[in-house]
Amino acid sequence: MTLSEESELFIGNLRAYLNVSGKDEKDIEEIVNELEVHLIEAESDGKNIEDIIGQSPEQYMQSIRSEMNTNIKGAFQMFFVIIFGGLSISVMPEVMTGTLSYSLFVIAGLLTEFTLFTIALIFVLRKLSQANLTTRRAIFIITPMFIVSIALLVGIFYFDSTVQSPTITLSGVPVYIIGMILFAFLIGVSIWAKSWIILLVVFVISIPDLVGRIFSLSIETTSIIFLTVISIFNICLIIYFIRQYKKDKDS
Amino acid sequence: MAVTQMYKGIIDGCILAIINREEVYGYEITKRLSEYGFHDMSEGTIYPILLRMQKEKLVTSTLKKSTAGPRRKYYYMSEKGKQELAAFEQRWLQLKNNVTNVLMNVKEEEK
Repeated sequence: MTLSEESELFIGNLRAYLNVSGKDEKDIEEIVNELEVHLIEAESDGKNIEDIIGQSPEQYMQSIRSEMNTNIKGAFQMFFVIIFGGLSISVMPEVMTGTLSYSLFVIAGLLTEFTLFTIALIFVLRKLSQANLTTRRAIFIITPMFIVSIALLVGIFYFDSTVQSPTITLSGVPVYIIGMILFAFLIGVSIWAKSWIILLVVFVISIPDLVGRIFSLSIETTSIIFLTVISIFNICLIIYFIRQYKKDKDS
Repeated sequence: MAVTQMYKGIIDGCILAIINREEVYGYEITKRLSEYGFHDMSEGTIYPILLRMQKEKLVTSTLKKSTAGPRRKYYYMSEKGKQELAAFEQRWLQLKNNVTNVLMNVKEEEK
């Protein structure tokens, strides 16, 4: 017995939606399977998906979500990985220079930025899974988020020189120890996520700095190279991400 | 007032009564509800309610093989569910009485 295309799509969307809402994997499987059984039997009795979930799939998904326990531990882990991962990625290129120097302003700014970014990401993913969006529309939603995020990052570093705040400076052995810990963390996350994309990000954002050093370019030129590389890379990342996401949804 | 607004809370009690009679799975519950006259309800409405009832431990469930297709999730009544059903019956009889009283008396007064 097979499901109609609409029902298949709904089931896939519901699974993705509950996933990004931080629900437990096992609970998700249980409710999704139960609805699948219902849809199969209802369809063989000549009913359609609207008879079952009503007029609005979005509302129906919400009503299921609100009755399920959120996997708080899992959500925290995810949050920690994203924030710590984000910090590691930003610190790694600096580690290679042998000196780490951050003001409290930058540290607080980065933490705020990554927290906001994570919340926005979860919100966008939820929206994406509730409706069937085309790739173009999905890019339309995600791109502004990335642009704002980059603007914030640039802003933090730009205003750092104008804002007075205590600065922590490390050099030599401690920096290399921090570097090794962060690198081990990033490799661990990559293995766990079965994706090498994080290490690729570190590599890509380190390039402009390295190029700047090797050819002794001015900070302005290096910054322009940096922004160009980051922008191109971001676009590639968005497209890759959406493709991957759609593939997950279909399977 | 939309009929679905009135259903809130009442459907919960009806689902409990159906599960209390015999072990059933989701699709069966909706079929029973429809047989008893609840035609205009979207069938999926029962699942958020069933999720809540499981959380509140009013019902328990097991997966059972079916002759056709994937395994079905059957629901059973718990002791707590039986108590809740009895309380619901009380509340419903009271409510039914009150509503009938109001409607009858208003009609009498109109005459």
